[in-house]
Amino acid sequence: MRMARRSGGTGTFLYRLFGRPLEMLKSSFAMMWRTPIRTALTIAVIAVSLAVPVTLYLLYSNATSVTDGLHEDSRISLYLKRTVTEDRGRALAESMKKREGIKSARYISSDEALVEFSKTTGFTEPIVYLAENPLPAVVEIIPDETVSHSAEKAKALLQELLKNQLVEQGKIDVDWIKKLNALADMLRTLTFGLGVMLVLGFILTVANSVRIDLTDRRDEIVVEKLLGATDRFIYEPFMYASFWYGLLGGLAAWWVNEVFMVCFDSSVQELAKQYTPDGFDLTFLPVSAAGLMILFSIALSMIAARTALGYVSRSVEPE
Amino acid sequence: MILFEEVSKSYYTGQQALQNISFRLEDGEMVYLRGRSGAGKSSLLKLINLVERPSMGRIMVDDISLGGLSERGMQLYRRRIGMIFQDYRLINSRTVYDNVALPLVICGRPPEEVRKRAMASLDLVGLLEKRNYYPLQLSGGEQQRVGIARAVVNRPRIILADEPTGNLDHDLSLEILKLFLRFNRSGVTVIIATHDNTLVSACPRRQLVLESGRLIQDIPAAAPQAAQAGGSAS
Repeated sequence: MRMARRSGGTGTFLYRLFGRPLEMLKSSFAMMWRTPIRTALTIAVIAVSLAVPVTLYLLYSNATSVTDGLHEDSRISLYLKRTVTEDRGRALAESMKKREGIKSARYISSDEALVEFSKTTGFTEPIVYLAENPLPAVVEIIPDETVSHSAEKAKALLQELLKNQLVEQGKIDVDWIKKLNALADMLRTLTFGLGVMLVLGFILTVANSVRIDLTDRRDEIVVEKLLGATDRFIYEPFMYASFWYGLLGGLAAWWVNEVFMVCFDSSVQELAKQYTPDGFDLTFLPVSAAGLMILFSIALSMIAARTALGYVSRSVEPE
Repeated sequence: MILFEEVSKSYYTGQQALQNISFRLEDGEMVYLRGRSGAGKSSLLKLINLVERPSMGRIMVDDISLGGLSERGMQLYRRRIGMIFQDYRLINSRTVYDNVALPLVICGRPPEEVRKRAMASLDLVGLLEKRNYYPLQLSGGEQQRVGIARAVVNRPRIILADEPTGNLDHDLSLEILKLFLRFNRSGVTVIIATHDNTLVSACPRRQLVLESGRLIQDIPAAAPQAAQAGGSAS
């Protein structure tokens, strides 16, 4: 008796390459359809597991883009001594521009400072009655990103600048940078931690679904093994089902994320209008990133299924 | 050829299912495995189908030692055996056609070949008209015929039948027996485990009689089958 018969031919090859996978896609979908509630619940858990970290990450990205703008506003104001002439003040500002850690420096004369003060505060009348302009000339410095994102570096820069003899005093509010950075760090850590936990939940959900599916089909698998089915043949429907779980779960996660972001966008616009007439453009999940998320979902689902199958199918043997 | 050489099988519970069994079956033989319940008939068939491995001794099928087969080798080997069960072992969620086609699908045959051979097999057992039924919509006799169609669809060289008529009445049992005779006439080796005397008397063939896991008798078939039988009890 020959142990193996080779069934060759182009037809067989093409069938194995295209026909069989297509059949399996259809039959595994039908298998899932037979247990709609379980399937829907599994897909829902996958969707939430993916949507929550992705949405949090998007919020973090949006928040970072806002705070990046705020960092640019983390200016250092150097108040010059009254004896410093305008020419020397402007020369100082020019020399500051060349220093490391400084993005730009601008000289503001005491007159310009007064005009700006009047504009921003509306205190025009009382200032007119003053005998002389009480405001000193200022060199306004905008640190570059390496400094503006670190409260310690910003403080150190200020200390350096205060050593200049033309400078009377300097000012920078670094506490809010600290708070902002801490908040951003917390959001990032939260996103990462939640992401890890939810991805773990995702894996366990798919693995458990596959385990239940396999247990439900125990008798069928025993018959298949008795007829000489390979592990690959037995795993196939479950692997294709896990593909569907991943695909549908990924698509649902995208949808959940979009719905949340649309709802959140209207709230953000309302809030932004209070500060700027232009509003704020909330960044949504790009299509390419959504595609990657779906691919990740499929891959993770199939890895989870394969791992579960390896463990569970060993317990299903003909008796 | 199937050769058992001093084969014993004991389970981890300590139960001795088979003890020192030796016999030889030639290609194309039809043999009854007889004995009471628990005599070891099913255990012997499980050893041939590699559901179990012997604790001691050697089993050869067509010069292949079953003990040396790998997992993959075992899977390929099982595809060449047609197995029929007392409880039919059909997949109730699949149609009669799908059940019969399953061995061919497992072998990766292209759909056209699967269709042709499954239809031919169903025609052979007279169930072509009921191919779209589900097993639970059929009678016991019909379900067993589906099991037989599934067992022969891959053109096996050996058919193992474990109490194939155990759940059937006399007339249906004879009908099933006729099918086995038909396969045997085409050169297939058929081993039927049964305690049904009516089968044996309706169609006398070589008998291996088991009792408490021992082969106590090897009764040769009446002529002309006697000439084919070459085994002897140990």
